Amino acid sequence: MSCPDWESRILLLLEGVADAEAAGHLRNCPACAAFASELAGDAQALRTAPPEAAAVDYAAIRVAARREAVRRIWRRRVLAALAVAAAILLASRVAIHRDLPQPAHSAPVRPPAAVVASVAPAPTPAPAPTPRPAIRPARHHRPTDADLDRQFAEYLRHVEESQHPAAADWPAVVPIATSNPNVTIIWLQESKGNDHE
Amino acid sequence: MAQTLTTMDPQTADEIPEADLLRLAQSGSRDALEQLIMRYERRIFALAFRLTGSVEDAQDAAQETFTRLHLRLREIQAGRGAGPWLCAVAVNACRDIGRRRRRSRLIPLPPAIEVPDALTDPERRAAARESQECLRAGLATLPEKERAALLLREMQGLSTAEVARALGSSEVTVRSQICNARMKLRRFFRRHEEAGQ
Repeated sequence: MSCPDWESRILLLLEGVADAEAAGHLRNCPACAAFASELAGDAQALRTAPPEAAAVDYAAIRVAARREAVRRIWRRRVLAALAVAAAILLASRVAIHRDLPQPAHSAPVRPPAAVVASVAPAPTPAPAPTPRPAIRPARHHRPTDADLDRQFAEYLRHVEESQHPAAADWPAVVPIATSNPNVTIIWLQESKGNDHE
Repeated sequence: MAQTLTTMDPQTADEIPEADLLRLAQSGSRDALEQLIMRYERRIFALAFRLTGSVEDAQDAAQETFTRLHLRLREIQAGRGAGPWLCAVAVNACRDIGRRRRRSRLIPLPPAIEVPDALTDPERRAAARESQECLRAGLATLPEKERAALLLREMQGLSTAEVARALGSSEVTVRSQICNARMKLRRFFRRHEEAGQ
């Protein structure tokens, strides 16, 4: 076994791995002892602080670190508050939508035929669907003059009936007895208007 | 202890065991948290600098690490200490920064800070600078996981089990990664020395 072959075992030995054979070789081999000495020198160089470490403004780093920590804490809090607010808003909107009556379904919006034809001309025109009447929301009905006349006539009739209850049975038949039992006078009462004729 | 920490001078605060400091910070003491960060800021910056090779990225990673410490302080087990937790967070922060940089195709910037030179001798200063540059280039050749495993072991002094926990790997994998990284780094230094001669 040549000395370069021992190097890996010496490295492990210096790392604390027990190897009696390697330790014995290290005691008796000047080349490997020199190698171990060089490794110790490298370790010493690594342990030495770099000269740049003496020129750093550590107080500024401490202040910056503290400020950054405070900033991150506040950012977390704000984000948490926003998340809670968003959840509450979402929950309230869901509740409102659940309470509202379902809206009447509206007719589907169809694009203009000209636009559809210009974008994608169909080889065989599809049959035009029957137009569905759109359900319009209930609007306040404004009475016409005829409606007003009819309502007024009904009002007059109601007043007439309340004043002359028998008028509802036009034409009335009133039998009038005479001295001759075979003769009865029938009195037909006629209304003045033509409605009940 | 919490009430006395604010009035305590920094020298006395340094003597508080880390586990006690961590418990105080977890119970809401801002001063204890500051002290905890001050204990680790250099180590975390050095780790991030060795991992990313950029001062700006290392500063960003250190800031992100301490920001997460503010936010997730209570997740750390006082018995284990803050070190392994902070190292794991720093490694992840560096990984995130690396991903962002790859996505945005940004080129790592050269260090923008003025590095003080402790050495007065120009030759020694140049040698030290070259040694640091060689270490930086050598680490840059390592795969990300091997680099992180080696640095956590050598720079931060974590055990194999702690490195495995920080990287989310098994101990066997981590041991293999550390050995591979040591070997690759040694070969890189050898080539660099041979090229310099």
